Amino acid sequence: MSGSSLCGVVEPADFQAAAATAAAAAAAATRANSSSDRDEWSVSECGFMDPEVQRTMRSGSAAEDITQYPLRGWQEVTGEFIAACQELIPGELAQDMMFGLFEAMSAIEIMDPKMDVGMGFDKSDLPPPSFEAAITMGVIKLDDLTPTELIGIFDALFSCIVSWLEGNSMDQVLFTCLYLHAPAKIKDKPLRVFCTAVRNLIAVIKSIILLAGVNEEEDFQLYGNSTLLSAEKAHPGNIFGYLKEVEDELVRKCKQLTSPEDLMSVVHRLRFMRHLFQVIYQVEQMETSTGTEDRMSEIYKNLNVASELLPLIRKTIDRGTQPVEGSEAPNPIGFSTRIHDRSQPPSFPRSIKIRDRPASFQFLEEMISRFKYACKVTRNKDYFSALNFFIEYSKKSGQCILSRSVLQAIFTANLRMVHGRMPMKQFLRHSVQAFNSPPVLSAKNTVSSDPKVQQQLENFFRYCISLNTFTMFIRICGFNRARQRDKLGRLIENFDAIQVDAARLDSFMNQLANERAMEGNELHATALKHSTHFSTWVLYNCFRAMLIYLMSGFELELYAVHEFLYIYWYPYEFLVGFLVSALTRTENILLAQEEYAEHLSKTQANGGSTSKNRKVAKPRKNKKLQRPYRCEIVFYHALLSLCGGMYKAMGALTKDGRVRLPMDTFDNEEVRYIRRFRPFGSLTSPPPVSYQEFKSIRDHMMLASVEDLYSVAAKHFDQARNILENIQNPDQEVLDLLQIARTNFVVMNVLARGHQKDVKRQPEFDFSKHSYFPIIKLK
Amino acid sequence: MEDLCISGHQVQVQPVAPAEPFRITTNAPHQMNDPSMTAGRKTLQKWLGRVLRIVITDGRVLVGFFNCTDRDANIVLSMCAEYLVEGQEPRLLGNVMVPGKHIVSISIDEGEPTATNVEVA
Repeated sequence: MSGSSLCGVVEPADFQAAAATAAAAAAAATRANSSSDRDEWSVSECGFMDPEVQRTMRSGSAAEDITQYPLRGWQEVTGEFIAACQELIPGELAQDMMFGLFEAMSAIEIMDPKMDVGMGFDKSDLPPPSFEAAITMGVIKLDDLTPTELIGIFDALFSCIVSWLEGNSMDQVLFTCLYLHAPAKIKDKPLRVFCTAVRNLIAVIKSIILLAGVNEEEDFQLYGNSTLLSAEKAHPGNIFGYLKEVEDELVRKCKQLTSPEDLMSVVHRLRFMRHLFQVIYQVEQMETSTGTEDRMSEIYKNLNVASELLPLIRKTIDRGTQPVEGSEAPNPIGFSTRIHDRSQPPSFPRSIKIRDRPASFQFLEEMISRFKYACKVTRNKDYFSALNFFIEYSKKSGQCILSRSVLQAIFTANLRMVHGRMPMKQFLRHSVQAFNSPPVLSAKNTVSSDPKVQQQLENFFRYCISLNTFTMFIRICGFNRARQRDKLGRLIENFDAIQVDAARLDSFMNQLANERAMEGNELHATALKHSTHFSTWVLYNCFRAMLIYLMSGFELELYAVHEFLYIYWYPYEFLVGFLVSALTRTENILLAQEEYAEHLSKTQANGGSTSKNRKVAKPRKNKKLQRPYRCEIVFYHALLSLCGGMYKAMGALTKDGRVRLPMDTFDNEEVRYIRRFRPFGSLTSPPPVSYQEFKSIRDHMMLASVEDLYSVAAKHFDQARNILENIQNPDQEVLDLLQIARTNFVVMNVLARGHQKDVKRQPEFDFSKHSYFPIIKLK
Repeated sequence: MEDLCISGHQVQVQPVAPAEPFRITTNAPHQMNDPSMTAGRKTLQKWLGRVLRIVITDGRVLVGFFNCTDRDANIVLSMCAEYLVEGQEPRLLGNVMVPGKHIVSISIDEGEPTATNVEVA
């Protein structure tokens, strides 16, 4: 062994230490007490057992201490170390007793180009220039920038903002721009104002996202260089004033030029920044102050101007300086790409691709239209339509964190505006009324002033708020698509407690109705009767959460093909049916109440001028009330048929031997089934369906011949097609579903007739048209 | 102490045979004076948890607690500090794995406090 002489040097120390700690070691570790062998050392001497080391290893601030080493002195052991390692067998590890999987997995690999920021360092390399260094080196221009240079810097900064919003660290994208480090020191006025605006924009965006709280680490990097993050002295409220001033100056200059196109392009960018900033700033203000209505129209105006400016800007991208081929910097001047690399947390990615300019402006264009869409949330005055809006918005705009946060901001601000100081409780109360209009909630009805009733209602809504279930449902829709499923799983469990409470409230109302009927108070009794209002409302929302949870698994590609059968079975057999019946029941209640109200008004007002007025107003109101949920019900009917079609189709394909099944030894369908429906297990309503129940239902279906199964599936798809075709003014989703239903109908018919009977290939399931339902394709 | 032994427990009862598929040498107390341990393993065992200084092929110096190694001398350090130039401000990396093929030299913070300190000074 090459290092044996070194070993000799340390040995005496071993003996000394062993002798010194003999007593302690004997007491502490019974195994160590017999040590007399020359090669042995006591436990206390091992590095890990060193109390000093242990203390540093355990304390959180230990990382600072590493810089104090060596405590004793470096002793070169390369040869000895490598020789010792070679004694280990392949796969054997020599590891510290505190070393585990976590440490192994979190280690970054040195010299790996993706992980190691310090790689490629050369001692002769100059450090990346800071703002001051760049000035002394003369590589950064502070004054008299040409319009071409300005356009280049502005466009590069827009790209940086977009890259930041896509989840990159602001230090690695935005603050690679040296101009942003000290905007006040820039002499060129347009550039100074623009950079100040960007600095403030960053702070405002960050605050919106923080307040909305629908971000996850993969969406957005909240943290960055804190000294740069604190906004420049300028108050954000003054920024658009500055921008306007510079714009006006430049426009005046343009008038004196013979070819002002380049300068006008600069003006367009400044103007776009002004309107974008104003939008973002107003949204942030809305979250903290009142006066929402004025702000909304302001925001809308600014969004319109901004979206008109973007085509002009996109057309003039090539007027600016372009990034140098092969360079990481988004623009030839003003950027120092690796300036913050060494201050990043070690686990951060080393190099970042900043979006190119055309793609960045496209992103901004889409973002502006997403904002416009988000503004429409204010039209939704009750939970039912608000939830629909959020679900729809998430499908269309779920990928952009800022758009999602803006929606949350507008929604909460709007809630406050409409419902005053106790927004959520009032909102829910109002929502139940809008959903199925329980008479006890109507202020007109005298029963609502009954203190007992009031108390019960108060308790129920307070309970809803304290459990947070309804608020959470809306917020969950604000998270990114992949995270929603996980959160919904937990939300569904929460519904049980509210269901119980709602049912209790309903039965209380019914009981009270009986009492009042006994007392002879017919008016109150009728108002309180047939009230499954509250539980229907809660159940409806719970079913929706369940359906989204289940179907989102397709979107996230979690299910294997052989699992499709029970995933489609559950909504076919239960969920969608429940939804339809909840909505139908609600409609019936509304109709019954309408009739009753009509009856009342007739008996109350016998003739006279009032009844005349009412008659004029009524027909319209009636029509609107008659079938408020017709659209939803029809749509769910179509979903039901599609689920049924898919379920039967999967049954047929499985029986036909066209579905690849897992090998028996590795398979346990029951375990998978339970896992897939786990969040539903904690609910009392709908009661959980056991695997045995499912199995017997499936086995029963499977008794039919393959051909019959195919044709039953075809029938379901045909039914779906029929329903979907009859929907008036279909949106894109309906059209897509229609195409899926049509195609699958044909495929099922073909298979029923025995096409490709001998080729048992698994068909392809193409989810590109709709994330819940595939087009079945035979290869 | 019992709970800390779990990871190494089953290893201890296994015989030292080269054909063994999986083996861990650790500095857990029960393994400390295992007479069947080879000299190299004992050396590694003793060094585990100590501070190592590793110079790698591009000239950087990494200083951290020695956590784990294998036959190819791939080394895991925890609380690692990276020096571009020794003596200058380091960057703190946390857990790192240094592939053996990039290692130029390894030193350990060791020796008799008096003698080595004089030597370094």
